[in-house]
This record gives sequence, C-alpha cells and structure tokens, in this order.
Amino acid sequence: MGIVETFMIYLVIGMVVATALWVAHGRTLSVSAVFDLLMWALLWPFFAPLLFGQALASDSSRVSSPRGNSERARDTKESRLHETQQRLLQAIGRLDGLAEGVIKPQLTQIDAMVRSLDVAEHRLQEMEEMLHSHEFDMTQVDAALHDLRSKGYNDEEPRVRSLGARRRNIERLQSMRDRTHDELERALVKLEEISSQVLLLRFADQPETKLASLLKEVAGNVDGLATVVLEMSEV
Amino acid sequence: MVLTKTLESFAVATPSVAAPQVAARERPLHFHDLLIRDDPRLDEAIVAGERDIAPIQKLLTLSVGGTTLYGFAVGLAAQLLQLPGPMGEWLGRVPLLTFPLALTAAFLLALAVCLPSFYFYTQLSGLDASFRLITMQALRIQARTSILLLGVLPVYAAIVLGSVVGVIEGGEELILLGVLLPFVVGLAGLTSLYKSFERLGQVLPVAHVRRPCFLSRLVMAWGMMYAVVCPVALYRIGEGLAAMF
Repeated sequence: MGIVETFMIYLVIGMVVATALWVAHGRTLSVSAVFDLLMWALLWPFFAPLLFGQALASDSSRVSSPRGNSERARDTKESRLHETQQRLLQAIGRLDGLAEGVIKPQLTQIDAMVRSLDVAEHRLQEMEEMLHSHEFDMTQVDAALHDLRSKGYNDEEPRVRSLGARRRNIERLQSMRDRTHDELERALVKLEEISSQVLLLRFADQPETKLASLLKEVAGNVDGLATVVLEMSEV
Repeated sequence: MVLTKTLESFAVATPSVAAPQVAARERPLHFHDLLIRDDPRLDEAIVAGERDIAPIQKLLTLSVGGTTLYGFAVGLAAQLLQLPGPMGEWLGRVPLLTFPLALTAAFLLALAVCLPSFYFYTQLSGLDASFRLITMQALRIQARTSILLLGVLPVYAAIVLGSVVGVIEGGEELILLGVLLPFVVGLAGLTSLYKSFERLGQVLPVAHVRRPCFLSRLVMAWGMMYAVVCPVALYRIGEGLAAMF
C-alpha cells in the first residue's frame, strides 16, 4: 500500500471523526465551522480522544449500581454539575465574532469558578466518606454513651466526656456536609443561569438584544457564583 | 473584591492552579505569548483542553503555522542553493513545496503515532493523566517548538543569505542544519513538558507508587520515542513527496 492509499484511509477515518465531532458539538453551517471541519478531518488523531472522552462521560452517567439512596443522589449531583460545566464550556465554545471578544475577560473568572466547584465537590465527597467511617459512626457513639450511662457514669467520667466530644465532632461534620451540599446546589443553579445567558450572547448582534446589558448580567452572575464559592470555602 | 477573595481562599486548596489565575485576570490569555514564556498559566489551558476543543485547535494552528513557515524558509533556501547529491535527490525538484509539507506532516504524524506510547509511559511513571491531557501536552511541545523555530528563523535566514551571496560556503550542510534544527529546538519543548508535569504532578492522581526521578525518566521516554519515529517519518514522507513532484 502506497502513500496515496494510506492517506485515503486516513482521510476516511478523519471524515468519520469530524462528522462525530460536528454532531457532538451541534455546530451550524458557517465559514469558521467548515474550517473547523476540515481541521478535524485532517488532524483527527488529536481530536479523537476528545470524542472518546465525551462518549465515556455520557456512558458513565448511564451506569447504575446497587448503592444507597444518598450515594446515588450525590452521584446524580456530581454528574449534573459536570454536565452543567460541560454545557457552559460548549456554550462559550460556540460563541463567535463580537460576542466571543467581549466574553473573553469573563472566561478566566468562569474557569476559576468551575475549578473551585470541582474542589468543593471533592471536599463534599471526602466528608461523605468520612461520615461513613468508624470514627464518625454516630450509632456506635450513642450506643457506647448509653451503655456507660446505664452503668451509672455521669458527665464527669472521662470516657463519657470523650464520647461527647466525638459526638459533637460528628454533628459539626454533618452540618458542614449539609451546608456544602446546599451551596453546591446554589452554584449549580447559578451555572445553569450563566450558561443560558452565554447562549443568548450568540444573538447579541441582533437589534432585539442589547450586548451591554447581557454582559452586565453575565458579569453579575459570575460574581454571584464567586460569592457562593467563597461561602463554600468558609464552611 | 469578592472574586479576588475567592481565588485567594482557594489558593490554599489548589496552589499550583488557583494562584496564577489571579494574575491571569489582569490580561487575556494568548497561547503564543504563554508558549514563548513557558508560562505556568498554560497548564490551565492544557487542563481546560480536556473538556473543550478550542485549546487543541489553537495549539494545532500554532504548530502547523510555525512548522510550515520554518519549512518554507528551509525549502526556499534549498531551492535557491540548487543542491546536488543525496540531499538534493531527497528534496526533489521543488523543495520549496516538498520540504514544508514533509516537515509539517512528519512532525504531526509522528506525534499522532506516538500518542498511545506517551500515554502508557505516563501511566507507568505513576501519573494518572487522561489520554486527552497527554494529547494536549504533546501538542504543547510541538507548538512551543514551532514558536521557538520562528525565533531562530531570522538567524538561519541570514546565514543562508550569506551562503547564497557567496560569503559562507557549504550549501548542503546548511540545509542539513535546517533539517536538524527543529530537533535541537525541540529540546526546549521537552523542558517545558518536564516543568509542566512537575506542576501537574502535584494535582494529578497517583496511579501507583512513583519511582525516584520518575519525571526525568518519563520525559526521556517521550523524547527518545519521538526522536526515533519523527526522522523516519520525515525521511519517508520527503521521499514520497519528491517522487510525486
């Protein structure tokens, strides 16, 4: 097989990858989109991993396993947060022309927020795991306390004091977990709002929309999201 | 401001990523700028490339643009010097066309061929990096090399010009230098890769216990693999294109 035949096969695979990327990104026909399509087809080995990543991400959300309700709810939130982040990034990626230029200063802030949310999500996961550990087993602490009190020991007893302190630590961690959970939920809603506003920016050059006011709203929401993230870090 | 406070508060959690973002807000990110300076902020774009297609496209555009321009300059030199011998045969009758095409295609093709190996080497070293991150890192080396080649180009052009007007002798050696120069400049790309993995190594998950000097071994493995595949690709593609034109 010569260089021409190899190149033909390479191009066929490239066309398949480019079509899949086109569909995955929901592109509409434009000059820049055609240029992108050509780039994807010619240099497909560098873009194919991105395609596989998206496929895996959507597959993993479909996988179910026999776990507890809280874990499933947490996983749903994680995947929802991840999906929302993906949608926001895709919405930004679809911007072109004037809107792309004016949104650029906001991108770094949005990127920082998305990263911070990832950190907060990871923290929530760690808290959940810790609450399932032996040291943070409330049932066990309560049983031990009940046992000591039934034997006639009062609050002055060092063992009772120690168990009491352990109980307070568990309660503190539970409260931190609940607050982080709520703040993440708030951030998620804010992200969805920003995503919809960024999508609206695509039509900012139309007379019925005002670019300045839209940008102000996006900036306001990014700042709002920053507040949520800050509150999360202070939990 | 609230945002500044937020970023500062998270600087403790993710020191290598969050801290540069405060500075990043001061001016928009330009890939070529970051590549020339080997700015740590480029890591953010690399990580963002895992979820977004735009950074990959930008790195590829810079890689292709820089390499093609450099190849065009070397091809022009070969065209003007009208080389006899094996070098002249390899470049064909129209080196102005064959060399930039061969150089760009060989560099990108070799990179594409080496990607799975790069992924395995990274995993074996103990860094649990995704295939997408590896692709971005490979393109980072290529883009940085391309940008730096453009910096070297005026010096090379001046030497070639000296040869064309007869001040300097050795036409074939000059073209050989032009062919070898991207590999020498590529070492700067490898240095950038080392530094980047050094930073990312603090945040990437640990695949298994990392051996001593794992980063040096990893970068050496990447470099050796590429140094073997790329010259072969360049030779074969150049030969094929010379036969066509």
